[in-house]
Amino acid sequence: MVIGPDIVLDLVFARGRDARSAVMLFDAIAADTAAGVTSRRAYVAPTTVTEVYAIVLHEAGVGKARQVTWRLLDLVQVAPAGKSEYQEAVSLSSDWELAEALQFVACRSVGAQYLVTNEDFGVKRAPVLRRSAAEMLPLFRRHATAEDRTGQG
Amino acid sequence: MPVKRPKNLLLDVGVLQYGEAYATYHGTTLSQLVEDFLKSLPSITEPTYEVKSVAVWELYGAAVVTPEDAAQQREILERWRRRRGRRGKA
Repeated sequence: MVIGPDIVLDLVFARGRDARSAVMLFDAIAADTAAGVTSRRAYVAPTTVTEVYAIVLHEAGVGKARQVTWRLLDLVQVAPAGKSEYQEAVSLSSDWELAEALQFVACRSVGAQYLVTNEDFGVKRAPVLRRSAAEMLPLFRRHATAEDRTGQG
Repeated sequence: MPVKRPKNLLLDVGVLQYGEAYATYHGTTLSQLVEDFLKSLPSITEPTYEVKSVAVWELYGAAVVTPEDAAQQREILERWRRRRGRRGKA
């Protein structure tokens, strides 16, 4: 999965009820990391890191921005984005903002099934499958159960 | 589009004045501020959830600051940017 910046911001700004789902999602990701589960890695697009840093910097200062970014990177991988990914995003971005397009490209480049976000990008169908943090949680439970049964968990 | 309806609220005058000024400063309305606050209240029907991971515990609400602290941070940031701008021109 690729996690959108809005989910990270829900978590760090404790934004209402969405924060609860974000906490549970990141807790599940942390449990995966601790258990060495590699079958469902969590990624963010590179622009998500800079976006979250910039917003937290603006609202809460440089110390918090660094702390949040550091901790976020403990939990998620950053999807690689080189020349070809940026070119692909630019070719998409007449319909979407570049940062949004880079999230879609990140999904493709890391082979993610879902973009975890509450954004609808102003369209009925985005180029990738979108899921909210709450919608992702059953997938973790299902996988955990299956891995427990096969002794891999 | 959610349906909205008017509601009278009895508020302390000082609180009301600060709320209006805060809303204007942030380009929003008092109604929106009240709505955002009410939406942020924890659910009373869902069971409480205890954060398990230290990293997530540190991230949760890490950027929440008081409006006064946020304004101060923005001022510091602005001063830093101005100083950096002057250095760039020299």
